[in-house]
Amino acid sequence: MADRDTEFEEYLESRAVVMRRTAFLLSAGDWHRAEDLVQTTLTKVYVAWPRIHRSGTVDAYARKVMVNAAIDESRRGFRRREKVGTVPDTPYSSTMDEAVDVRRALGALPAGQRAVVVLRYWEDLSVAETAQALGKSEGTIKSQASRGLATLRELLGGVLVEGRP
Amino acid sequence: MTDAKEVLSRAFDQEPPLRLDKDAVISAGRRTLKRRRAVAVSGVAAVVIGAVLGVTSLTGRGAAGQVGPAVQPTTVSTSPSAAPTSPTPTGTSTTRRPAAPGGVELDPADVAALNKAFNAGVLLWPPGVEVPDPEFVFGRDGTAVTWVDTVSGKRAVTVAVYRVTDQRRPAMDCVSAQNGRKLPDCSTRTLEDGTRVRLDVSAPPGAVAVVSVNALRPDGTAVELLETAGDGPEHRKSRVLGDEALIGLATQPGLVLK
Repeated sequence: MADRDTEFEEYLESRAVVMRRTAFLLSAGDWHRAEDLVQTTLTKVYVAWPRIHRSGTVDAYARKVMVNAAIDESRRGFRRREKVGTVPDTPYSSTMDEAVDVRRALGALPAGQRAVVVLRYWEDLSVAETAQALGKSEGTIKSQASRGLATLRELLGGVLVEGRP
Repeated sequence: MTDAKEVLSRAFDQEPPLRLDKDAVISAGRRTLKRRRAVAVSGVAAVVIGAVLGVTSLTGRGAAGQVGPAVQPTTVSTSPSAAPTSPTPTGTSTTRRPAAPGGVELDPADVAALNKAFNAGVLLWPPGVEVPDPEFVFGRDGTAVTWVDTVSGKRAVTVAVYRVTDQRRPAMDCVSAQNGRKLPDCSTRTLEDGTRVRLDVSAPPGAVAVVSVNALRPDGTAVELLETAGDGPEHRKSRVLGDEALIGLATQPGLVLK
């Protein structure tokens, strides 16, 4: 148990910030929900640690858990009830406007499609890896990625988005 | 054209500091592990007890030392005065939940008292033993379990606490409920406070050792403790805790049910 805790703590400290960013995108721009997602994910990672650490699949497992948790939560409508304003109480800047726009655009995507976009274009997973993480066919991943990008292009107006096929 | 990744990165404006509670994550993970292990050990104990009792009922307890002493089935309807010469086969069916107090749920205050009593003192585990979940966490059914890791495999310690009734009481005699013969590795004693203790050890060569301690307190509280293991390679066949450690655990001071 001591070894498990030590190894896990090292993993947590090295990955938590990165994981929270992915969770933030999956939750369409809610830092509170992102932290909850990360906490849920890391708890499951801790439970499965000996197995996934031995097989070298910690990141893949964590990604899968996080995506599933985000989609499940979206289905339960949790975010609609609990969404907290994420716009800071500071003067707006163009950067801030862009951030809000991107978050809104992400929020307009269905949870599954958002997960595809995040894994493909933020996590840089291949189509095959994304398909494996989400338990979907590669064809589905390609079509959802395409639709997701199209929606982002439309909603973000002047910001042109391109992505790998 | 702007790269998709670059666009997504724009969402991170005003990123707050990470407030993740590392200890909370680990605690939550440990609780999950404990729940899973509790479920698993219930199955392990049921299999071990069922197998031991099954063999015992067929061959006779203590005959030529071939069969290890069964964990005396506390759910067998044998009062201390019950005739040992008339074993009740019906008891074997209920022994599949050796640590269950007859389905009677305890008051939450009693559960809290159990957790406090069993975790107040420090059990002196032998050298080389690691206890991943050092605390006993009791459920409303009055049972708790913890796993003990050793270099040669895992052992499980289960505890069941309940109030004695006419229908349910711990076996306190060293006779087989199956054939009425004296158990070869069983002993009884009475402590200063009047608590009666029964220790039974089953350690047949090559098989999983099962050690049971039953304690019957003067106030009518019964504690049944079992050290056992599964059959898999990750389990250890030999016992890990000594007699006094197990008896000490079963006779925790400060244990009072309402």
